[in-house]
Amino acid sequence: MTEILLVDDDQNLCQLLREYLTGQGHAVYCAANGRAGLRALFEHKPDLMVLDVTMPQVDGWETLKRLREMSDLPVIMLTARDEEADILRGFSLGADDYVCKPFSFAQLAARIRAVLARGRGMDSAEELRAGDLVVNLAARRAQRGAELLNLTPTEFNLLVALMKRPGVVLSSEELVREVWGPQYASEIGFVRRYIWHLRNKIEPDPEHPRYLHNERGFGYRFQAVG
Amino acid sequence: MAITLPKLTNSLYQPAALARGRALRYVVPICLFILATAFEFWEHWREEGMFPLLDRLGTLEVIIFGLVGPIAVYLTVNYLLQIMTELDNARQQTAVINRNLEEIVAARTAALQVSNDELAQANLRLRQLDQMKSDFVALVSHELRTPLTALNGGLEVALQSADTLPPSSRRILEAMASESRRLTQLVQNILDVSRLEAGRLTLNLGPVAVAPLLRRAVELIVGDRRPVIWHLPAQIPPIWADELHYEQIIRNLLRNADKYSPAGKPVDIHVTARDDGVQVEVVDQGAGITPEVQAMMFERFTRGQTGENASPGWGLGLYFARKLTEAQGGQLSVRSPAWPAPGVPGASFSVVFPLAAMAPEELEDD
Repeated sequence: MTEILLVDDDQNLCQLLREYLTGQGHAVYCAANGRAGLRALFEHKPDLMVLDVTMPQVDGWETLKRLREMSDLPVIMLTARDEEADILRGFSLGADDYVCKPFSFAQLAARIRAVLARGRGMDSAEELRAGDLVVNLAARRAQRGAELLNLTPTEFNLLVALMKRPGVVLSSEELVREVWGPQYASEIGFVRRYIWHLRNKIEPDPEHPRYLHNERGFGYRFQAVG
Repeated sequence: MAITLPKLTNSLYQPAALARGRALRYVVPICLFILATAFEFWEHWREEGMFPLLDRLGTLEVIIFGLVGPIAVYLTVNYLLQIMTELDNARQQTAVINRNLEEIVAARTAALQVSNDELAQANLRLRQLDQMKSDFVALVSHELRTPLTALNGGLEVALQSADTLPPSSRRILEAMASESRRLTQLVQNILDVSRLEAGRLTLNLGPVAVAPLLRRAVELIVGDRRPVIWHLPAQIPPIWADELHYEQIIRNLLRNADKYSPAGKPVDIHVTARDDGVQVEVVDQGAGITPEVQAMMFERFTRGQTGENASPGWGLGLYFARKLTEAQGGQLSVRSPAWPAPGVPGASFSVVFPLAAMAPEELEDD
């Protein structure tokens, strides 16, 4: 049973999350602020910490900083601020994932699973990797190295559809079926333009693609080369 | 700002020239009289050996040449002097007027400066107030997010075991979950508006295929409640937009069309591929929108209808929709009446978004 330490000053949220995550098969400990959280960390030695950013006394940023001085425990940050600067700050301080309030409990549970699987070095159903591209399915986030890629939801789905079958040539029709739905299978005209813009966003050098390859007349193939 | 008026500098109008003129008025005629009289005396003495005043002709000559000439000169110079004096008076009056004018302009400029300063101060105060309002809205929205998480999560936990709940409790919980989702969306909208106004809304731009998105939005917003008449071209090039925000705009227009149309009446959706972008037009068969309402309906917190018949809403939708559209390089406009028949005026809302740049291989093929 994985043990999760939940650090948030909102006692109602803690109680509800404890109930939900216990139902998901986790053991959950709660702490009301950063200082109590760090104490509980020594006491219970959990497998993962869910840490709120805005708290009295020692806030989430400070707690994460102190935690990283002594441990590489996986941490998911919870915050009411969803601006990119805050998210990047979280990652630069060593957070493993970042969830913005209001979030659904099911989404948090999926992200907990993904982070735990990554921590164990296991292939996660919630994560796809190729070269230095990492796609987190639970967080719907794509990264190239440390860089966060700004993909639209459809571009993300398109990338996932291609990455899930590496080395396989997928026709435009297959991609449309999977990404937009079978009812649009005849409308394949826009796929080329999507692929080109996606390539501009994910490839280090779009002129010489490393990941997304054209198979003229057949379709597209995802394969990390070089 | 001080204004400098040009001064009159012509030497003719200088007081010294005038004084010289006044002296010459006497000197020149006297000199002329002496010269002419002396000449007449000398001439008569030389020709007749006698003084001119001793005969009638000589007296006449002395009078004509010695007195009439100088008198004529005196009168002419005097006349010119009068003109010059009048000009000089006019100059002095102009100078006085100029001085007054300069004083008035200086006073007005100073007053204007004071008003400008006050206006700048007022502007600054307004900007500060606006900033405070935006900060407050952002703060409140952030503060609302934490209890909303607990509220949504609590309902999620409760509804996990929905099968074991009595039907009435389940219905109540489902209604609460739906309202809680609405509240979450409202808070998100308010945050987005305050970010958009502060120029801090991050847009995630990319290609967007219009038809699938439109169909999904129609299914969600209109559903089976009323017929939808589609006017779609065979090929619609992808537009360049933030997919989530574009869908938000489309949903807003569909929700309005649905809200203000009589039950059972269809909504028409026209899509036109233009050279500069893709136009989506949502046309309803509602009561139409008067020009006065059209002029203000894109402002904050205004709605097409007020009073008892008004549908619930926040009046933030169209304002936000237009702001969002413009932030992405698009245009949002309204046209009403949308139909020629007087009984069914209706309204048509149209959004135009730019096209996504073509892939090089598409250009090669074309």
